[in-house]
Amino acid sequence: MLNCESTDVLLSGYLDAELTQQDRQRVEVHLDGCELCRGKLDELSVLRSSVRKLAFPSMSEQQKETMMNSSVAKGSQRLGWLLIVFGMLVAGGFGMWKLGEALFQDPEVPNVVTLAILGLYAGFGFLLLSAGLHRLKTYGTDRYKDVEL
Amino acid sequence: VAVEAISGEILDAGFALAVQILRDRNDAADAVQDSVQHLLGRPSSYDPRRGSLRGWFLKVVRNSCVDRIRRSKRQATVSIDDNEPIARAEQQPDMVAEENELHQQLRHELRQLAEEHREVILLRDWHDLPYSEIATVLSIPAGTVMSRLSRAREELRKRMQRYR
Repeated sequence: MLNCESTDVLLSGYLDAELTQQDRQRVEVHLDGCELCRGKLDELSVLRSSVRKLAFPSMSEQQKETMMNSSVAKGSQRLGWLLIVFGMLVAGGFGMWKLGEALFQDPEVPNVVTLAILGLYAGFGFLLLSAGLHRLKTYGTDRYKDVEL
Repeated sequence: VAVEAISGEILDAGFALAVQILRDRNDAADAVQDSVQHLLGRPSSYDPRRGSLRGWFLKVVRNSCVDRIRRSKRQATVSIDDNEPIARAEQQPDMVAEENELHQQLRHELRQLAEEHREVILLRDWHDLPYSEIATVLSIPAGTVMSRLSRAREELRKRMQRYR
C-alpha cells in the first residue's frame, strides 16, 4: 500500500487521469484512508480549474488574417527567389560553358585571352568553394543549429 | 499541411504560449509569424502520427521563443513584477479586465515559479495538452512530464497557501 510520500508524486497524474489503471487503484486505496492527501488533491483540483480560467492576450481576427496572408506571400516570394536563382545558375553556367568552348576552339583568339578566361572560371570556382567551406565551418560551430524554427 | 489547417484556435494557442514565455505582445506575434512560415515552408516536418497539429505548432512556437530569448540574451527565468509586459498586455481592451482576487494571486505566484515549472503547468492546465504532447512540446521524455508537473503544482500549491 502506498504511503503519503509515494502518493504525492502520483497525485498530479491521478488528477489528470494519466496514471495506469494499477497506479490509479493504488492511489484510490490510499485516498480512501488519508484525509490529508484528499485535501491536497482538492487543493490541486481547485488550482487547476483556476489556471484554466486565467485570461491571456489573444489576437484579433484581422491580425490573424494579416499574419496568414503575409506568411503565404512571404512563402511565395521565397519560392520565386529560389526559382530565379536556380534558373540564373543553370542558364549562366550553360552560357559560360558554351562561351568557353567557342573561345578555346577559335584559333584567332590570343592565348592571353584564353588564359584570362580560364582565370575567370577558376576564380569563380574558388569563390564558390570558399563560400561553401565557410558555411560548413559556421554550421559546425553554430550552437543554435538544433533550434528548430 | 494546408494553410486552412492552421485555424484561428491554433494561432490563438500559439500566441498565448508565446506571450506566456516572452511576455511581450509584439515579440509573441513575431514568434507566431515565424512559426506559421516554418509550417508553410516545411509542411513535411509535421507528422500526424506523432501528435496533433496544435501540439506540434506549440512546439515550433516554443522553440521560436527560446531562439528569440537566446538571440536577445534575455534571461527566461528572470522574475517579473506587475509592471512588466505581461501585465501591460493584460490591460489591452480585448482582455478580460476584471479578475477575481484568487486569479490575481495565482497569476502573481505563477510568475514567481521557475520557467520550466510555469510552462509545464500552463501547457497542461491552460492549453489542456495530454502528457504525451507536453513531452513533444518540451522535448523531454514522457516520464519526466509527470514528475515535473507534480513538483511544479506542489510548489504553486504551497505558494498559494500563504493567501489563506
